Amino acid sequence: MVSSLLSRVFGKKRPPESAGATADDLFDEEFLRKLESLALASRRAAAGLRRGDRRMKKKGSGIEFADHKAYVPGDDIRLLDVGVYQRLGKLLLRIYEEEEDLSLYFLIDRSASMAHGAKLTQAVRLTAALGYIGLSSLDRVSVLALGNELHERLPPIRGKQRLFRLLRFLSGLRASGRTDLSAALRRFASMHRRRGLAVLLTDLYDPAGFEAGIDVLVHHRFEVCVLHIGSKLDRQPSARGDVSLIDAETAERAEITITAKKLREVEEQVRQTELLVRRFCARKRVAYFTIDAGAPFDEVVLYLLRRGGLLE
Amino acid sequence: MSLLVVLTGAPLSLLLGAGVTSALALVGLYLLREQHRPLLVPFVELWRQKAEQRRSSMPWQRLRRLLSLLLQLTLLGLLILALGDPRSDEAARPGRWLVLVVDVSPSMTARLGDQGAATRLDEAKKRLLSWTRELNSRDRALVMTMSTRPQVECGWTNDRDRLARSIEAIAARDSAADLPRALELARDVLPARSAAEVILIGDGAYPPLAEADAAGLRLSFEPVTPPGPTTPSENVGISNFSARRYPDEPRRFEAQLEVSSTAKESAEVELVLRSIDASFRPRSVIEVKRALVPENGRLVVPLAQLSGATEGVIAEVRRVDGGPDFLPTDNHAQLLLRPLPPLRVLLVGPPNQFIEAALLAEPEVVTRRDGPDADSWPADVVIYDGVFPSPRPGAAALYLGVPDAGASYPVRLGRELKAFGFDHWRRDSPLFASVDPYDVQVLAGRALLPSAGDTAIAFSGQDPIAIMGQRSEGRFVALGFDPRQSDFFLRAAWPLFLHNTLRELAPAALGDDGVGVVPGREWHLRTPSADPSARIRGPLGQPSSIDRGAAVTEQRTTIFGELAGFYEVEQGGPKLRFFANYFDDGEARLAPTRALEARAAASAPARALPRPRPLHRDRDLAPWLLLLALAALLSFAEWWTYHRRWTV
Repeated sequence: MVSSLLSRVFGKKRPPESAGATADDLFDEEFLRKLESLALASRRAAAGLRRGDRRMKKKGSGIEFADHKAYVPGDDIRLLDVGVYQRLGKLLLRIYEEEEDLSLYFLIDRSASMAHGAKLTQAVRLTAALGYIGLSSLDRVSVLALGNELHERLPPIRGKQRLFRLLRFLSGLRASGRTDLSAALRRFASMHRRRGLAVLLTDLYDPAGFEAGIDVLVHHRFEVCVLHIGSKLDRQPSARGDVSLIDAETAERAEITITAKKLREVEEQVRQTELLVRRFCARKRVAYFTIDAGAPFDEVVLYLLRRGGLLE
Repeated sequence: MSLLVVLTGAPLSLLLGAGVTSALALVGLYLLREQHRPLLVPFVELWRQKAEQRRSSMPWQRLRRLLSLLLQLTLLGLLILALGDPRSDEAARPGRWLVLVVDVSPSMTARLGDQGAATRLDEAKKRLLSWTRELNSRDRALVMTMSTRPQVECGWTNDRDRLARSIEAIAARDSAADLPRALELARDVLPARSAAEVILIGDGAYPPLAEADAAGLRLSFEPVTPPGPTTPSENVGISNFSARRYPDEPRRFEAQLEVSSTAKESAEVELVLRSIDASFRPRSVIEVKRALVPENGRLVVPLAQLSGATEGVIAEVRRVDGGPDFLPTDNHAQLLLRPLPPLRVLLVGPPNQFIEAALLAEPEVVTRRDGPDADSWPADVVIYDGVFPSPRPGAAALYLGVPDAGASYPVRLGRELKAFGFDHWRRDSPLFASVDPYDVQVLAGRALLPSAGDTAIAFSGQDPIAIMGQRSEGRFVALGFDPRQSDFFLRAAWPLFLHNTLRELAPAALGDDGVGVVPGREWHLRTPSADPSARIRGPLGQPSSIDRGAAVTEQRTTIFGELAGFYEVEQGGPKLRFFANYFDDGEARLAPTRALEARAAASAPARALPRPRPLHRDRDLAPWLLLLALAALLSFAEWWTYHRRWTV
């Protein structure tokens, strides 16, 4: 069962039963070990934190003092620090960190463009790996498939025992449809009042632009992390010469001639787009990572963990 | 220039078929090319430049797609057109077949100007060369020379280099131009083509042309003489030349020159006779004489008592009054004299370097000193040098000195003479031809007493000191003194005197004078032997000469020659030498014409022959090459713009 799910999710065929311990089996086991090691790595990254105690940046009514703030009319006077007032004569409010379970939202772009270059596969793998880490940390993990609207949805799950549910959901994702990040994320935000970390896995191929979708998440105070998955095949097709390009989502056609110069131009445009997105995300305080669809997922996860800002 | 274009390559129907088929195929291929391979991409906007999007939205950009097809179709059209080899109407006309007839008669050697100017033949060759350079690739030309017997010098060809070589090799001949015969040959060599034409280039000095001779020919005439009334035509030349040996004095000969002049005033000329050696090379001057030739007339100049020519003579005439002479060809003539056997001279007496040195200058003299083995030697002349044995019978004798009493001597001796000289002598005696012995001083001698029939030819006072006569043994000349007792040996008169004396005393030679023939006719020659073949060489000593074999039948052979000069027929050992002189008043008159006329009859009106139509060579490259180049250029442009998205 696990092997089958893993095969569907990670693109590996299930070995025949009679084959015994094949290389694929070892790989699968290896993969599981990788997941485990990734979870361990995640725990090391969040060393000292208890189960369910992943600290939110939200300040609120927790029990752990975080800071003081000046009193302004309307504040809850129960939070006035009497001791400070007695010593200093100033009205300061005690602020406590609000402790709550981290909600992890994996927003997977499953539009038709994600099928090219195994971007959706990479997105599914990363979601599985990061989701497993989250489940291991007893975080609330939700997965939502996006397109021009909100499609499939995995309700929040918690605990490692929910891994198979996660994998089953992920294996059922199929790339199709158009991309409209703004509409889909607006819908997502309206449906999820519980804020948390929203990990957007997408190729950002949105005819309407990527900015509006990210803006929606930021506006609704989600902690946003954009995993921009790109594929070399997107910008370097094997065909050369006169071709009729067909957009995988809109079926729009464009007659062009693929030449070396044209390929260089596209490379440059991709680079410029990435730079544009990076600046935009930096401006919005959004974590942004570019990920190659062909890169080994475990290395990508380790990279993300080491860079910090994710699953912390 | 015509703007019409005709196709000279593949036929039009074939071109149309090929063009339509190829165009359809091209359009089909283009449509196939327009069906681009579909390529599914995740985000097509990634491949679109905004500028491109703007451009493609413009209406004319949609036409841009057709530009490539138009280029391809244009390329195809050019290639198809190139196969048709298009030419302008004028350039595509059928090629011309030209028979170029060049007059090579003697009058063509006349100069067109003063000394050093080109000859008429030079001008004709120059124009021929310029014409052949203008030949188109479809034109053909044949070069023919016209003399008494016209010859094809270069067959039908379009090879300009070959034509040029043939034209450069053309030389004048010494026979009159036979225009009807040349036209007959041209008619024979012309192919049955309407475009064939005959171009005659010459000085027009021909007999009247009958229309019948030019029937069936597109005959045109190109005069070589420049236009204008002052066409140089003055000529002074030898119009006849003959010579013979005297029958009784074969060492001597006489000649007769006839000099004609076309000058408008009397012309003073200098006549020079030269002897030739066995190789027919000019040797020494025999005679020089000046004469006045009346205007537009002729003068016969007899020359008698000539000697010094063993083989033959060359006569030259030269105008010395400064007047023009535009035809140098007829300024010389040649002939062969009767061959003479060598003159055998026997020297009797002590060695005498003065005698032997003088004899060395006589190439036809064979000498031998007296001795035991000389008795049987058949001497022609015996020189008794102070020694007077019995006269040798059958041989003439020259006695130098006088004997003592009792010796054999042909004349009686008179009184002794002391310190005397040649007071007077017979100036008409051949012994004193070109000899002036007046300054000869003699120490001692004897007067000679001539017998009846003897001739005293020199005297000291009244005493004969030189006698010539005849005895039973032969003719003799006796000097009444020993030249060693005088300065006669030291003077230039001595070798001349000895020369004259030997020729006077030599016996008559057998044989005829040299055989003479006329160029432009068949030469019927009697060969030296009955050998069935012979080689004929000549004119000897001239750059253009023949050396060919000839069949001999019954010791006779017939050849045709057109060059004046010396010839020889060789059959192993023996040789026959002969000469050819050409004298033609018509050629010598140098009467050029710039308009050649033809008449159907003597009383019929004359029709002037037209001038040749000019030739126009295709200056540029063949149009099909240009079309191919244009197609290649278009192809390159299409490739260039395609990769820059100017064409699609």
